[in-house]
Amino acid sequence: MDRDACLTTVAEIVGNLGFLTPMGVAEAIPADARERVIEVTYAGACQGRIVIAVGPGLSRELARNMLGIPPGDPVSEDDADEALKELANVIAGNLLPMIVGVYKASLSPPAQVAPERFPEGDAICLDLAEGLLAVAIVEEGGLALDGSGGTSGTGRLDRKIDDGAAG
Amino acid sequence: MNPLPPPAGQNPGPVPSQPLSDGAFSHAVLVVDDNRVMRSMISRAVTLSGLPVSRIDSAGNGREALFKLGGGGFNLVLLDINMPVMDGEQFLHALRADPRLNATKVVVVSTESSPARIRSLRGLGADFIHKPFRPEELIAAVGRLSSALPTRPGGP
Repeated sequence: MDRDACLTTVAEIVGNLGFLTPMGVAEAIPADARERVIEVTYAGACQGRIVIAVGPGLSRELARNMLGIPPGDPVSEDDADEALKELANVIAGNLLPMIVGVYKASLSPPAQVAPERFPEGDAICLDLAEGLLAVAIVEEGGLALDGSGGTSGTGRLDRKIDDGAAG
Repeated sequence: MNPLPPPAGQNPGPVPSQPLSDGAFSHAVLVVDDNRVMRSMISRAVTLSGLPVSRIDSAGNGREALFKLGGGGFNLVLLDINMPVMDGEQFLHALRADPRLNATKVVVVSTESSPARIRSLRGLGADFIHKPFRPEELIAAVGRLSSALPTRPGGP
């Protein structure tokens, strides 16, 4: 996958859907600072999961923006959870064609998972004015889209899968 | 368990759009999405869009949407695809198979990107906008459908 295209897509979505402000690219969200982690699995020609983690306070700001909650008014945990799930759903839906190319795959509903489900290693991490957001793609097998005889790995964001090299 | 839609014979069908003084039509909108925040966001986008809206309500899946449509009063559905219980594609098939409801206009609002699936949805008479969408895209999609919206007898 083209990492820059992936990064651009995620940045556009957080801006257009969440009204959040991308400031640049960050290294990572420290493991102990991952306040919420949402996972969307994909299955079909290949299988895997797209995992989104956010730093402290970001999901509440996201809910505030998406629901139009005035500054100073409280944001419920449920609203923060739902807002982040929808953001994860839209990010996953837009990244899926970059992952599976022309092949068919379907997405699961987004689910909140334990912070440890976010994989260490390669991930896209955006530094937003409202906090940190990271996206990891974990491939868990399927068609040999890169001609290697199979896929399995974590966050292989630089792998070319859209070159028609399916087996 | 969600209640089933009423039998077709008891279904009053889509409400005709009400012609306004400037010749435009008002929309009675049902927003169908399984995410509560997204339902609220789309409803707010519709309200703030400047589109003439006489009524707006929401449903969490296709089955609930059919039940609400069965009660009458809607002429436009903004529809998510990936939903539990009854997804958007199943809903569209059920809607088009019901002679009382099959004139209801539908705009699919989804992350779907498969050209084949989008063609299939368009083949069922739905317009399509991609999430995340800009308000202008929603207005344009509704505008494309508006010319075909049923009108009250005697309307323009």
